[in-house]
Amino acid sequence: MDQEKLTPELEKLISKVKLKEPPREMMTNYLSEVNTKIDQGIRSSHFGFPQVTGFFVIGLTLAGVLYFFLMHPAAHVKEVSVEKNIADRSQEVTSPITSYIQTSTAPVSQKSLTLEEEMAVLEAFGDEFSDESVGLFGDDEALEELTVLDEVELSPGFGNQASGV
Amino acid sequence: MEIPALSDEALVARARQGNRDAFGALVLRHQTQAVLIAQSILRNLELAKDASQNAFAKAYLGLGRFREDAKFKTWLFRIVMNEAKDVYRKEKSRGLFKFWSPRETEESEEESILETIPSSGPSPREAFETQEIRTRLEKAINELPTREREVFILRYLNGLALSEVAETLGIALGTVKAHLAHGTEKLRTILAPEKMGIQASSTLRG
Repeated sequence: MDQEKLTPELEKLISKVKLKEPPREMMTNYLSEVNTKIDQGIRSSHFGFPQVTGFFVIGLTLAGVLYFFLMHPAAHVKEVSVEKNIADRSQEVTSPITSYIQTSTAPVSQKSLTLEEEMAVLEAFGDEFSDESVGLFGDDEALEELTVLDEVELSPGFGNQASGV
Repeated sequence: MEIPALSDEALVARARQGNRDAFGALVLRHQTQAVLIAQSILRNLELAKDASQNAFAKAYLGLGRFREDAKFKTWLFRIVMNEAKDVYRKEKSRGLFKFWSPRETEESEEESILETIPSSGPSPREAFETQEIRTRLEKAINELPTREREVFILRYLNGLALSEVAETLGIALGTVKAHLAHGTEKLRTILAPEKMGIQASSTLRG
């Protein structure tokens, strides 16, 4: 085929050169070195791309694991009792509401609860608290008054007297 | 029949049965060409020798996968080329981690792949011109795209037949011919007399 025919100029150039042959002394132990490599099963000592990639991936994985256990924001969230938090804020309020709250715990961050968060917690406890009571939560004097009124209502006579007035 | 006189096929059959002498005969038969092929990719004789030896060892360990209808020579050369390319990539990536300029290192470690064929009693002028041709031809071959360069070297400098080039590179015969046509055309353009200078052009004119 014509395509594999070289031009006469190029043919002449190529006829003047050849691939550089290795020196004879370099090839003397060639076969024995091949046999050694066969016996060793060609253990490559090169530190090439696969090795570099391997180390990089392992390094990234370790860094990720360290970050997850030591630096991740979730690691700082502790399970703090709602009771402790509320007690800190309302300075030992003694009421049925507080005693009920004392039995429950929930995971919250260390930051103190806002009024809205407290409301949300209270709502989660159900309908046992009247809107009136919840509305007074945080107002120590009003809660104490409410407690006293509850105790008063427990005695029937007093209740009748009160209604009779 | 003595081992060195056996054909490649017969030696492969014996080597497959664990005959290391038969495989040794194959090594001795093809070692020079294997080094030359690796050298054309790596441009470093030491690396080329090491890569070709690895290729022989891999060939021996992989003889079970060798198809008997294929030619051992082309199968081996394919392994040599892959091994040499692998070494080349590793050396290149190693160069990236060096503090000094990789280009400088590459140039200092690269060797010429061609040598001039000594003619009987050349005049100093002729010797100089031949040397000049060698340098320019090598530079021109380096400017070819990888595949065209590989095809050109295997065909015209290693002296493989077109079908052997195709088998070695694992490409179709038609593709080999197309690469050769494009490659030689590019070489002709690169080596045009006006680009080659006075000495080389006078040689071209004969």
